[in-house]
Amino acid sequence: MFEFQTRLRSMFGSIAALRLRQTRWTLSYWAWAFGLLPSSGKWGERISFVYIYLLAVGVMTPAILQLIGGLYLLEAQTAEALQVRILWITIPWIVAIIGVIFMVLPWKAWMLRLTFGDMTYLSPSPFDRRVLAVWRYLEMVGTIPLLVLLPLVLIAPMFGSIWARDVIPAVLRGALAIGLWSAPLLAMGWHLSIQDYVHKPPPVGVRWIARLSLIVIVGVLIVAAPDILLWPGRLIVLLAMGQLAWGWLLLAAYALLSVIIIWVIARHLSLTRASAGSDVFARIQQLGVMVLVDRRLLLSILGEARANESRAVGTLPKTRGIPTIYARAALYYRRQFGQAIQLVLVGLALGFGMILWRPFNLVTVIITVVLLTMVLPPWLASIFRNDVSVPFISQFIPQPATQRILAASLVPCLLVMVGLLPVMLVLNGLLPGWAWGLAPIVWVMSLVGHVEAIGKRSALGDRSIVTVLLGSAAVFAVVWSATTSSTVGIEALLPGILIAATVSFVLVLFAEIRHTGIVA
Amino acid sequence: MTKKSPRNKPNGQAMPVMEKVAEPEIVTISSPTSKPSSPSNTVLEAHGVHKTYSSAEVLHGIDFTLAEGERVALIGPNGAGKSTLLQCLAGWLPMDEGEVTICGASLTRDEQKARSSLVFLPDTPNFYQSLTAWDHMLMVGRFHDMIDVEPASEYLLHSLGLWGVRKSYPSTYSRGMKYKLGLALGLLINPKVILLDEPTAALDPLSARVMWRMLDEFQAEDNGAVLLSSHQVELATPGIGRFFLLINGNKIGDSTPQGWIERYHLPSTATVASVFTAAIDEFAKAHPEATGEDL
Repeated sequence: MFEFQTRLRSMFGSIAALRLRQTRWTLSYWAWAFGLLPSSGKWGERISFVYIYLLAVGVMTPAILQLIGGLYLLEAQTAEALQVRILWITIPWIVAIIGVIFMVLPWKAWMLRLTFGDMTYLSPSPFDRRVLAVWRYLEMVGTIPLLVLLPLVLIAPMFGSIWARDVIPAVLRGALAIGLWSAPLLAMGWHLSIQDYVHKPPPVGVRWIARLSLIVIVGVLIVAAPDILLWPGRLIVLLAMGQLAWGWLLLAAYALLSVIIIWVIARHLSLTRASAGSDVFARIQQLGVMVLVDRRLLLSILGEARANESRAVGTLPKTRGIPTIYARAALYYRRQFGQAIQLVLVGLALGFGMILWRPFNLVTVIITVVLLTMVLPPWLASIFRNDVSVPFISQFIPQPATQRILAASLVPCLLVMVGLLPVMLVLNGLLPGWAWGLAPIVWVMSLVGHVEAIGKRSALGDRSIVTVLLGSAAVFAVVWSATTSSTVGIEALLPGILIAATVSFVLVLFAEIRHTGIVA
Repeated sequence: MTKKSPRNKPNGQAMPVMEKVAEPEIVTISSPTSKPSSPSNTVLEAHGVHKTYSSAEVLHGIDFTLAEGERVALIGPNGAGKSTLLQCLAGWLPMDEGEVTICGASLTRDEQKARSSLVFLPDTPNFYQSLTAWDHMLMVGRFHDMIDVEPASEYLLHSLGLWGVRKSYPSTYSRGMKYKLGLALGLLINPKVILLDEPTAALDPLSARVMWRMLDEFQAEDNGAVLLSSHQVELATPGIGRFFLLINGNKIGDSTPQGWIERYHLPSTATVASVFTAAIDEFAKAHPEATGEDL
């Protein structure tokens, strides 16, 4: 028994030491990246970093403090009845929704989060799986209070202005209560998820029935007794206010029980299976900060993982020549249905945005145009960008790049229009007369994205100041023509279409020049 | 308007026929050490190809010709510039200087036409994420306006042992399977020239044999030309007419196996390794500034 305890202590000690070393490495990397280490660069470069920090702190800190101060003032002025309603109804509902997310999150969150290093050295070792599972579980639980800290700081006066004198203890009590409350919910998710990684997993049907049952129970509670779902949230609110001391005992008991459950079920865990399950996480983890810099890398790994998990549905519709682009797009969106939905939602958002947005002055128009050009074109052209980034297949497509751009840019444009048109038709009365000008704007934005994707020869095009400026100018021309059109309804499209056609010609010419190498 | 003249493949299935582009313009190039190409059949021609990465020059003015129906092996030690040369010839990598002509079309002035006659297969080809192997075959065939794309694809995938996994995503394939799928796509569109980077490195012996047989067919029936870089070919490997040797980005020679044996006075059983040794010695004498580590 004594030997077992010593072994466990040593295992927890090893994993803690490993985690500490990883954290130290990460911190030193960030310190290097932010110019804090002598190896970060020359003195001149590092001083410029300091200047940026001072500027950021000097500008942002007062702004954030002012924002929080304003919020606190607003909350202090809120009627007490409304505050009680927020604390007793709204926050418990938010807590209930987050609770469901906590239960479902571990199903797909590569719970053990093994890196390639772990897979190589930890998996074949006699390291106790239970230690690893409990450690990772506690890490997840421990992160929750940190994540909720900021939202709690923002709503703290709600607790403070009613009962407590000081908001800081309320915030800390709230964070701790949420952390303890999340433990059993996460344990429930882990329990279901670990079944996928045990030596002899139960049949797929059984695992799905277990998950579905959980969802059904929550659904039934929402319909039949929604108040039960609000109990945990109300308990957390009371604990944050320093009431109901016995609640701490209850939450702590549940948290302890959860750790025991994880310890027991992790006994059958297979690290070989867990390693296979962590492959996607390990690949993302390997990218390091590049995940933040280049989202395409992340999307590519996730897309590949999704494709590998699912069976290929549908086949390529029969076409010949350039229409094959549409066949390929149709099959792509059938298999990646979520991406098609995203584009339709963009259309809906643009439509609703039109109700609120007005071209008050030139600055408003320019800011809107720059924002649209920064955000939307790469999104609209994501499938084309993916395709162009595979030069091996590009060489098998005999059609000229410009023909491909023109054909491919139509598909996302149509999907956005699917979302946009219902809004335009149903809410026509709320929209300005030039709203129909959105159609050529969407087309031009799609074209800008596609043009940007074409680089020199086989290379994928990068966003550069030239493409952003050209794109912004193109979108501006169409927005300006649409918003200043004297005509209304469908006729407002005509000048927009004319300008869009001219702009399209310029963009395609730019793509051709960039592609053939006349412009580097 | 288009395509016909299906040829029967061994299993009786017809190969697809594509719309032909204009007949290639023929250019004559003579090289002192290479097998002379007939004036009427040069399909790939490179003159003075220079390529520099940062400040390091990796190709020093390479001249090269490839004739119809010919198979040439590009050999050289690691880091000699073989893959870079292949990428420059395929138009995947812009050259700093030089001129490449494919079937009479200049890669710099008429890129679209030049690249339509050539397929380059890198050592690890990538594919579209959301398409299966079968979808890739159909898509490429249909982009090329091919008829009979389905039987042709079936023939190629059967031959290369990929028929059973045709409905899987290539991302689930091993490197060898990806290479075979790449080869199937290349052969599907019947190009004039195929450039292969390390074709046998990822293939099992049986698959490698199938690949050589398919390349034999491609050369014999379509008069296609093949340029391949490999560390796994020997002077005695059947079907390879010439060996083009690169060292440190310099063309050492371009000759038949017999030509290399005579040049370095080697025994008739000489291997590629013995040609390397002799060539490196010769190169080191001619370029004393190059250190042993460079070579």
